[in-house]
Amino acid sequence: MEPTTDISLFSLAMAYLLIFFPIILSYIFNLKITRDTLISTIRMSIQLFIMSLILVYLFQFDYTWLNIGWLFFMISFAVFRVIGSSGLNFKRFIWPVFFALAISNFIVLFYFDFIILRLDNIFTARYFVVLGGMLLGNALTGDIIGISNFYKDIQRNKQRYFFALGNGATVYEATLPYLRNALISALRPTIASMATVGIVYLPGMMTGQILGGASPQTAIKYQIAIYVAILTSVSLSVTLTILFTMKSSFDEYGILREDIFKK
Amino acid sequence: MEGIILIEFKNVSKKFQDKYILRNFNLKVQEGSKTLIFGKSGIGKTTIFRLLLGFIKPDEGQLLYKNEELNGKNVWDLRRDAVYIGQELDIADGTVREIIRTILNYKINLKKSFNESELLKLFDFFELHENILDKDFQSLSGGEKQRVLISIFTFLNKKLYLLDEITSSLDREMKNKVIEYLLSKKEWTLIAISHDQEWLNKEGLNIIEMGGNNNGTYN
Repeated sequence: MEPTTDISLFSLAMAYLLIFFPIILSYIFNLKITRDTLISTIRMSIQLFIMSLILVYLFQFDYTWLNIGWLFFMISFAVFRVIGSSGLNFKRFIWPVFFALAISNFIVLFYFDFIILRLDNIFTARYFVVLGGMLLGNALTGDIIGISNFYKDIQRNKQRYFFALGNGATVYEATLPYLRNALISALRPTIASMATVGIVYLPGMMTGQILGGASPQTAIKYQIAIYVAILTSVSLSVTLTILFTMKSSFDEYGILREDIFKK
Repeated sequence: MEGIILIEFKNVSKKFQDKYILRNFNLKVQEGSKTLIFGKSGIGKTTIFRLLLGFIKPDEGQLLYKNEELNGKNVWDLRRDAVYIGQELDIADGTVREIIRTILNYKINLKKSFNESELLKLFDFFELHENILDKDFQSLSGGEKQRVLISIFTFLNKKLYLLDEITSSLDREMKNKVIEYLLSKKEWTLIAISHDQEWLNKEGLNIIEMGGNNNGTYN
């Protein structure tokens, strides 16, 4: 198998040229996203550049503890993204969200590396860090949708919550319909993309493996396994995040605290 | 009248954005008694239930349940004994049957086994067709929703009934039928909020008239 064709710096510059189309459109239709597009492009480039340097070293050293530490760093970063993007109070949510993401992603990652891939060293960077990041990225998106829906729904449809409480439901019973809706909306994007994969689009992981020289058969097996793993990690993350955050989000009367939302 | 005082409001006031929505409210409710809080809308009647159920806390005064100040512990006892039907009838998604199942699945109701024919008898009494069980609750009219909820909670047979404008969407005849039915339940302690004239002049009902001064007294 021949190695993937590298992209030279000149070619990369050509790739950046493509950005002019969205920017011209943004200008014509007055989309006001020119600035955001440019900032995001710059951020993406810097973050990925740094990541490539780190990955080189992680792969080179391949120390178990370093790999685990790196995954914890990614989880911490995800925690800030989840809480920030869902408009919730950092102080109240930081630890519950951290534990929820850590537990659910480690469980799924261990299962993937140990049971599915049967690796000798499950902490090897090539699998542990790369697949961990993949699972975490999806858990992050799902978690943002899940917990912001959960708390905003209770706030918005107070009368439903009060009806349940007033008729003898516990906090857990009264929040069950909201948990259900939160899980459904968090899982829906993954379920939808599973239904169209292969026909409408080829997912990034599979494309990457094929470009990297893997056979399409290997690539689809990985893709199937990762999709199922993503579903598990999203549903576990959302459920645990909600369960862990609930304890401190309701007062002793079972009423949602005002300060859980960012002022 | 003799009996245990179940609920007592002592000079309770509640402010909303520095304005009183309830001021120096007093009320004593004996076990098994029937109380009507009567008056036009927008004078803080609903606030009384919200305070009682611990959804909001009083700014001044005391609220007692079984002679103990309402707190984060006994409020759960009160809610377990209570039926609460608010004015807002958007209470859940799903069919009537699914909503019944949800309510019956609360730990507090698990002892109660579901007897469909018993419930259908109540439906029949309140002039609801039995096929309503499989209809989407949201698609029912206001009056149907009210009668469905009354039937469900009559079936559950609880102790304390807190009913906010429960007869508002019913026709005159049905209003009388529902009111008389509720008042005939001797074991129930009932507090109803309403501005329906049909509640007045009913036997054995303590009427608290609330006027503009947001002040109620027990009579």
